[in-house]
Amino acid sequence: MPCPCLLDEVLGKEASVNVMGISMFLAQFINIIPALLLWITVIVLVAILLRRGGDRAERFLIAGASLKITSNLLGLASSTILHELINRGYSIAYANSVIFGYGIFCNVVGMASVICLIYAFWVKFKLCKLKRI
Amino acid sequence: MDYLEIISPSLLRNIPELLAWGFGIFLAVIMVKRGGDKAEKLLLAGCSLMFIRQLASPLLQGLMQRLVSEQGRSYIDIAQTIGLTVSLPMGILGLAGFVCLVLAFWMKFWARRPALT
Repeated sequence: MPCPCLLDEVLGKEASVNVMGISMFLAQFINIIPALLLWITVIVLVAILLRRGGDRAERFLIAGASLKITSNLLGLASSTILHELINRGYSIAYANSVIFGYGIFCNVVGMASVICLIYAFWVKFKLCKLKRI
Repeated sequence: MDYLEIISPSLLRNIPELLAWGFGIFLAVIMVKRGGDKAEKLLLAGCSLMFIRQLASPLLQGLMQRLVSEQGRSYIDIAQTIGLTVSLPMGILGLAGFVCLVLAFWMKFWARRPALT
């Protein structure tokens, strides 16, 4: 991450704040790239399964993977939002409360994704059991 | 600052995902009891590991903040302690849970499809 003092001198205060925000966003984005790639692979594989005659379980799996990607992308913005709020002059306590609410929202999306994935597994389990009978 | 005061915000934030993994454990236990195979057992293991990770993460973060606020500790010392007490166990738990879940889903959805494997 670039040194804020050096950036202040070279670019001026406002531009330096923007560069810091962008580099924080990029650092977090690089962090979630493996997870994003994994979930995109899952979506592609399940889409192939769906085209070859997949049913409800595969649809839930796609929904779960999509929600997981959404939750990852939403989580990406949290530090940028905190940074932006503090830069706009809001108090740290207010910024923290906003981030707390936003974190709960991201976790609710994460919860929905996990429930979709588990439910997909449950549907597949019931289907396999019926086939065995 | 009280330890409970430090951990309660992140614990509260983690509640939705904790509930989701709890739901996963519940369904996995039912599947195992109804004659589930290796995939269901792996799902149970994966959900349990993820549940433990979600629960332990805020507790360890509280411990980490306490360590940081302690006087007379060098940055390298703090970084080493955080790495060993928070990052390493969380990384191992997360990776183990993730591998279990990927294997479980792989076995359930793709194992008997030679065209895709």
